[in-house]
Amino acid sequence: MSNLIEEIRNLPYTVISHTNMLWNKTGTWRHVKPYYENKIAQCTSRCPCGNDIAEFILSASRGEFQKGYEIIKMKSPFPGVCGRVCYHPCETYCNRGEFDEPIAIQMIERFLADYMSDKERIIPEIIERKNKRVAVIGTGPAGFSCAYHLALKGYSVVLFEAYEKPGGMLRYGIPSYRLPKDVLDREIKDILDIGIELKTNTRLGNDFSLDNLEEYDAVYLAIGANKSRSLGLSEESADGVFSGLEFLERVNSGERVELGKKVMVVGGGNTALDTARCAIRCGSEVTVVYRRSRNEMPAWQEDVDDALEEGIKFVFLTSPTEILFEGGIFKGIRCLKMELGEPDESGRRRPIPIKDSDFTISGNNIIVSIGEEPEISFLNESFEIKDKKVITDFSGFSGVRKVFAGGDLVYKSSATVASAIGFGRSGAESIDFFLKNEKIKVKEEQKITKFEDLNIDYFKSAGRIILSELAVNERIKDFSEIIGCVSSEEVIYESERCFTCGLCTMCDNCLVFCPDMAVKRKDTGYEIDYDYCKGCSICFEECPRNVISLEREIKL
Amino acid sequence: MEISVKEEKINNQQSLLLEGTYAVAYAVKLCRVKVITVYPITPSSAIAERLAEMVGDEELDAKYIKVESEHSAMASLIGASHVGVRTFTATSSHGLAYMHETLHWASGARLPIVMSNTNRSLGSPWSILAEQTDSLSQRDTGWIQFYCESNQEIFDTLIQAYRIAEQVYIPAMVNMDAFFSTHVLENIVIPSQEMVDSYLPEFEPQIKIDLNKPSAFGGVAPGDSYFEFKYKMEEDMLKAVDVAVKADNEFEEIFGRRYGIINCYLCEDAETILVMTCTAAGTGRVVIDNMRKKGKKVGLMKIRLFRPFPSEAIINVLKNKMKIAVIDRNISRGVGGIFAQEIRAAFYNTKYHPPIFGFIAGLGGRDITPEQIEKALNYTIESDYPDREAYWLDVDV
Repeated sequence: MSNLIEEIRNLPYTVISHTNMLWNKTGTWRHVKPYYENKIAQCTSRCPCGNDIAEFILSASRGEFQKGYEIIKMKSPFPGVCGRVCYHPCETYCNRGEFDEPIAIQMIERFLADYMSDKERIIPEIIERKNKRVAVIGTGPAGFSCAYHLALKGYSVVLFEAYEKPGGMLRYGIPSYRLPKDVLDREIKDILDIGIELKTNTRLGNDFSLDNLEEYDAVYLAIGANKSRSLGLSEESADGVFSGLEFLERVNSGERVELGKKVMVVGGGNTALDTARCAIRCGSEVTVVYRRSRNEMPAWQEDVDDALEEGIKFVFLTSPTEILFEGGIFKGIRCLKMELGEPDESGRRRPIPIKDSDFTISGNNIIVSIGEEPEISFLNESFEIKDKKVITDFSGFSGVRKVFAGGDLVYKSSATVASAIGFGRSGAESIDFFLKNEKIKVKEEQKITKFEDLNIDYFKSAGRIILSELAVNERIKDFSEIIGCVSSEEVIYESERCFTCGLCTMCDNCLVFCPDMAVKRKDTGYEIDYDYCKGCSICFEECPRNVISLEREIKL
Repeated sequence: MEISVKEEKINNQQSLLLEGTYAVAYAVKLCRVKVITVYPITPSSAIAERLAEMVGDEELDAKYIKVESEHSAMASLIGASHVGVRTFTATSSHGLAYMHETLHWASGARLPIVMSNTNRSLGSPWSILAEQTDSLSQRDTGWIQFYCESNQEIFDTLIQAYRIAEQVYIPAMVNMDAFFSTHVLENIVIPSQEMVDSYLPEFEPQIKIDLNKPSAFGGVAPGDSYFEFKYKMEEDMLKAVDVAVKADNEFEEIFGRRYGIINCYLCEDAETILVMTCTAAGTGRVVIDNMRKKGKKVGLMKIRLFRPFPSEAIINVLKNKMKIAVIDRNISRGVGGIFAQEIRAAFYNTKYHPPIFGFIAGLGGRDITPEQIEKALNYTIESDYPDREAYWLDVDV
């Protein structure tokens, strides 16, 4: 008894241990196992080019602009182009949009491209040159993207271009107030500098046919949709009457197109809007005539707003029935009023003519921009055609020996620059598999980080950067770019707003919260010591950006 | 054992008109507390508010942690106290109940945290008024507990509590009546910082977190030492009675005031002793005076220290008396008033047991009136033995 009292007196007054608890391997308690798994940010999942958006913005937020630029260039050769003309579905689906305002992703992309414009840009080194040749026909965004990725993989690529200069729709379709030509020229030069051969003034169907391409191991057809649809009325080829693409091509080639005082543009798509906005910059009064209402316009809504701001008038629910001439000179159009009926296969309400509602709109010119379609007259019957477009399988294979196709030429393409760039890249992947005699693989679906996967407790509200724009009266004087540059400070601010969804930024939250100190920091990420991780999932809960995944673990 | 006040000591001290809550805050400030965590609750909130002002105005150099619950308030202090700094929190009623688990941990880990508790009823039915059942429900958590009568006593006991707690490494709770103390103004003598510093040296625990010597606290005590640790705790807790007496005497030497762990009024020649606590004891003294005038030999014993229970001191006063009447502003349902139970238990192993009459009064903040007290005393004097654990004043008697 007294010995025990002695022992008690010798005890410290509180429980203290100078040894450690490493013997207690709490990992044996675990039935749920956390692990690090970067995921695809929702913006990236919606980027037709497949840009690693969260990643390049993370670099931008650290001021590593060249690195950010190079991350984009892994997926797209056109950051300067997309940074201006893309309809940025990334921003529409930016998770931050559900929190306060989406990140100005497009502006950041543009900044990175512009930042690098006067810097030495690394020409990617081709690691393994392959002894195979690929012909890419068409130098729009799809053709260039495909050529770029094939060249990076080591293939010899020859680009065929019908026009005098490369770029396709980027050059001849998109007005320079949206895409200055020097930006396009720079990015095209960078692509060609990898070592791609370019043959201009070489038109498929005129100067060569697919049969002439036997020497190539594969062909990528990306000739786009460069034929304007016609109204189907007589005299469409008369003086004073233009097709949308023809007009844009002449304006974009630097030609000073003489227009009258009053110009009518028929159509409601993006080309119609570009046409109308070019026409107002030529000094005319412009009226857009569209057979449905504003809600049904396929044009990008922001462009419609800009057009309205610039003073373009819209006449909705109106369809031309006759082109009117007086002494061989265009005088106006006869129109029918329309009303909206049931939705058609596009989901938009169908315009139905109202009987006896004829009226006349007078003017000096009419530009018909009611849609574009590919010129496919030179394709033989081996190609499967639907709606005047080529049908391919999931890989872009046309069904015709060694011929792949992409961009606006193919059925159900979405007629945007970014989607064409995406087509080009996946086409290059498919051709690579094909030339290696491998089965073409479908990309595995990756997990996407959505807003509800984030822990927004860790983010502060911060407003989106405001972009400077030319005043309307300045804008319509000429073809100057509308949206101004931003400073590197502004880009860093905006990039820091990014949640970096699904991508580890090494914020240390997991390390700080782990009650078992089982998270170890390494140079490029973290490791979990599963001897001690008891699977409490706190790291999973506290990760702001959904980088940690859980899996059920069954132990016997 | 009368309340002792030495005038010449008092004269050196400044005085302020303060509510009980502010008295607590001023005491905490003079004790140079380093970490304060509070989750506000009526009627304790003003303590938190005044301390927040003091920290905000840099009158008090302390870390003030806003916590999301009383459980966190105590948990945070457990961490802070392990580091070796003086800590404080204030709570009441449901807040104290919510702390329950951490109270065990704080005392088990031997952390001399000091807490003020404003005794308030527990729901249901809802009430924010005075009753002691909240802190008495925590009597088995291993905390030292004081029950205070005046605002000066609250102020002084808080300073004493640190001195006692830090000598025995046991946390201490200073209790006072909701509203009767917390919201009533009283002239408080505030000693100088030098006086408090001389009474309360800087807190330097023997065992604390030391970054140069990593160690783990509160780990598993293997089966062969848990029991021994508890034995050691109990031994030190029992020692705390003497430590408290000594601390009170030392306090008197510097500040000129002493309260005793129990406090007796006209007990020496009394035949019947009334036992009371907190503010109601003041009313009790008036009743004793009145009954003395009527020739009744009655006296009053106020219990100030409840844990550790000063059995020896209590028995010494009560053992030769005819009868004891205990008025409890609390209830342990099924056995009656808690002070009465504790006194009965203390007496059980002695040869002579005066009959102990238990009375329940003032629950939910109801006034304990002179009439009720006199009724309780007369009933005690007139009856031979109690026939039940507790009489409910105005209901049973």
